[in-house]
Amino acid sequence: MQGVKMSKKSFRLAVFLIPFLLCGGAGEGTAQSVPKKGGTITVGLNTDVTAVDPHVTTAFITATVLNHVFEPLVGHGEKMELVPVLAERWEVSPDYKTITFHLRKGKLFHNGREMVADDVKYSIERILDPKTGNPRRDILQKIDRIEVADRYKAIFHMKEKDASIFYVLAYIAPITAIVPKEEVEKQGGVMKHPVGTGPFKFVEWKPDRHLILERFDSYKPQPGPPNGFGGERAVYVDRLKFIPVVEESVATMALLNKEVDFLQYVPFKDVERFRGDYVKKGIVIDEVPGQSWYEVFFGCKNAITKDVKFRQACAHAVDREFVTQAATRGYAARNPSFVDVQNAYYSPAHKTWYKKDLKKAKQLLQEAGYKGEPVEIVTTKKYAMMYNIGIAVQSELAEAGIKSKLTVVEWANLLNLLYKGDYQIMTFGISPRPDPVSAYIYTKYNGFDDQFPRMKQLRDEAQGTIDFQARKKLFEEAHQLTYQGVPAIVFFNYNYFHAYWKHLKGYKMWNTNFPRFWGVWLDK
Amino acid sequence: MFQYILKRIIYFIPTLFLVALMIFFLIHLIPGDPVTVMLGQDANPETVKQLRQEMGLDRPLPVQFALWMGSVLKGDFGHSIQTRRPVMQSISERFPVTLSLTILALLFSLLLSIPSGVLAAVYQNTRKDYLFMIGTILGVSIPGFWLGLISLLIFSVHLRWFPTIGFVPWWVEFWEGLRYLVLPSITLGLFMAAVVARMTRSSMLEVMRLEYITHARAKGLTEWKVIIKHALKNAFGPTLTTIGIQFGTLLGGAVVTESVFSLPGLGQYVVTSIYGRDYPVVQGCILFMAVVYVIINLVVDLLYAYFDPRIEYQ
Repeated sequence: MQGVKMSKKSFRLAVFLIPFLLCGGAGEGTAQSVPKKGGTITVGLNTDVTAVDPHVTTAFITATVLNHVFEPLVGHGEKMELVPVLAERWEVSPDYKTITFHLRKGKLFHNGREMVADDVKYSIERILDPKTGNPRRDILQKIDRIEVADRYKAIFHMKEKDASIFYVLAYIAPITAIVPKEEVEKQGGVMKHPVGTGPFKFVEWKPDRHLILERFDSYKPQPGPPNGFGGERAVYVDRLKFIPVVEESVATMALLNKEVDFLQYVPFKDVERFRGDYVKKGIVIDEVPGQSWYEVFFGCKNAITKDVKFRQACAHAVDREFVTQAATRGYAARNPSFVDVQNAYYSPAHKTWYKKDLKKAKQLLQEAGYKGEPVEIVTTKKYAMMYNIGIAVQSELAEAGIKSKLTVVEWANLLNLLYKGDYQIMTFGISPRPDPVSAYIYTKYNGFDDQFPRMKQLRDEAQGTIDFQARKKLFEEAHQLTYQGVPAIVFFNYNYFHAYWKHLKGYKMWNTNFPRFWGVWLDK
Repeated sequence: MFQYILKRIIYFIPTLFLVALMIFFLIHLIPGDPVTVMLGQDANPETVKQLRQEMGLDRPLPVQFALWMGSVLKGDFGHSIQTRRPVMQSISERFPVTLSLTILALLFSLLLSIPSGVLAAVYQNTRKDYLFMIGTILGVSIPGFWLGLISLLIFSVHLRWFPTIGFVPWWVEFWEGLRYLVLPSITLGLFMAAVVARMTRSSMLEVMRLEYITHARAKGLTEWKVIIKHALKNAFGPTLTTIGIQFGTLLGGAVVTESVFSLPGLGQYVVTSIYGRDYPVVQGCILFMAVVYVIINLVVDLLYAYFDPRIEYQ
């Protein structure tokens, strides 16, 4: 009891100080809790958008901007769960052959017209039309037709079961956004002045200069608290101005000069500097675990790497922690699975992987009949992480006696090789795949499915059910199969960083790396 | 003179045709295609095949070339595969930025290089000349990328004289527009200044040794009149050639400067499009640059006559 005793003097001092301390705390809280309308947030992007028609590109940078202009039927919440957006609810028939979407009433396009079921039918049919050039069209191929049951009800008739359709409709880039037919036709078939239902409307895009969005005052937010791309979207700022700044160091200078309020990308090498000097100046740096996954793929049809024992030897030879440090300076969640650590389907079963064991690696190499022939590691310099993984893996393989040469190719060429499966070892990185089916699809391209046909069956079975537990089990088995056959060595899901001035209030980062400027206000 | 110009313009046709042919086949020969880049990680072989068919990329190359040339002759450079915008529209938006940057860089470099080159020649083998030589070696050696970043750090971040990013066209707001171009043009012009200055110095030294200069001095002309009116005018021929070549190089080579200073110019656009295998953009922009380049060469050739009266055009 001695410890809690207080002298009279101390007690008086505490009574005197407590209101001040509370006021101090409340003052900070009040500043955060009183949103103000007005102002422009200037956002520095690391490259320019590629197009402004949501149906023609999956580019991350375009989605960063257009997610403020367009909305899908369903979206992802903070935990990657499915949340309603334009559809307030949906029903799936017991045979999975029809999915009925009930639309929200009173959702307006930026041209003032109400969004109705006809727009859903038009948008999905536009995506399915080969002339549109939608990169995700093939994933919607299982839609047979769309019926407009009434003004607010659209029924998707499916050719066969397809659980992945919800993930495609909720894709984190607005690739399945609902668009108004009259605007697309008025603009000659491709949107140059996009019109959506989102909280911001498009003003102008001057390529490589800026892209400006303006608050849509007639926006009707979804009910409920903000949750990922769902829930309320209160808009306080008048405008968003996106400026492409290609050079990383120039982007930092622009932030320090207050020419931009927000940077969507902070290189790993600068994180410590931001956290030290720049935080003192009033810059905030946020970090969240990401979902993108980086790996080396093995060409399972090619000489040497087609041998499972050789691939297992590589898995024993490579210290994944060393490679992760080399590529990310440690700013990453270590994860050997195709399923990212943030994913709802991720479980401890996905942690299973090989430990570095050079003795075991050498024994497996002997069993594989490896005689020191050089293998080729293909990489690119377009993404520093991919290149750094290549260098680190090369040195790790050398320790086990595996000779390799690093070949640097251009990004376009690397993609070509990836889909042909025409390589021995390739460093690669893949953006978030909330539906693990679309992550495990990569084993189709490197020839792994031919060696382990069960992988394709697992994908098909997962596409055929919406039962969460059943799917979870299937993905756990899929990981077990990758452990057994080593189609790739997955290293990490790297962390995302956003940096902004503290006068930007209410900003909340989440794990898709897409900034959301609803619920954000300026307090300069 | 008129006949000469006409003849040169007729010569342009095969030159430009060869440029078009070369750029078309070279860009198509590089591994990787626009569909794969456009689809990125979603580029599965079935989708790639379908899109290639839809875009006509599965046709034989000579057919694709003929179709493209047909459109170009009608003034249609096609649409960007990535952005879906007309190539000609992008060129007309971006070329004025690159041209403004290049002209300002040229003016800056001439203001710096000609007087310093002349002075170095006049004060040959003195401290002034050695200082000049060091300056030009530095000018040629300092990488534009580094110079751009350092100038941004000093003049934009610390002194806040100039903006770090963004662009305002000077034809919309003149003074504000110039603020955005000062640092990039100095960065870009410094290399050219060093090259032109060295050329001016060596041409001047050659001319200053000729007899007519001694004669001009013997006539009692002031030294500066001899240098400016008699020596410089004759020494300017080779310098003019260098300026012409450098100007063309600057037009196509402003990529690094445009990238560091975030300028929406043509150079950066071409490089991005090459990486994205955006064939219509690469072909259109390079053909356009080739046209500009041959025009600059023609202008330089015509200017020779002014500086060297012995040249006649037939």
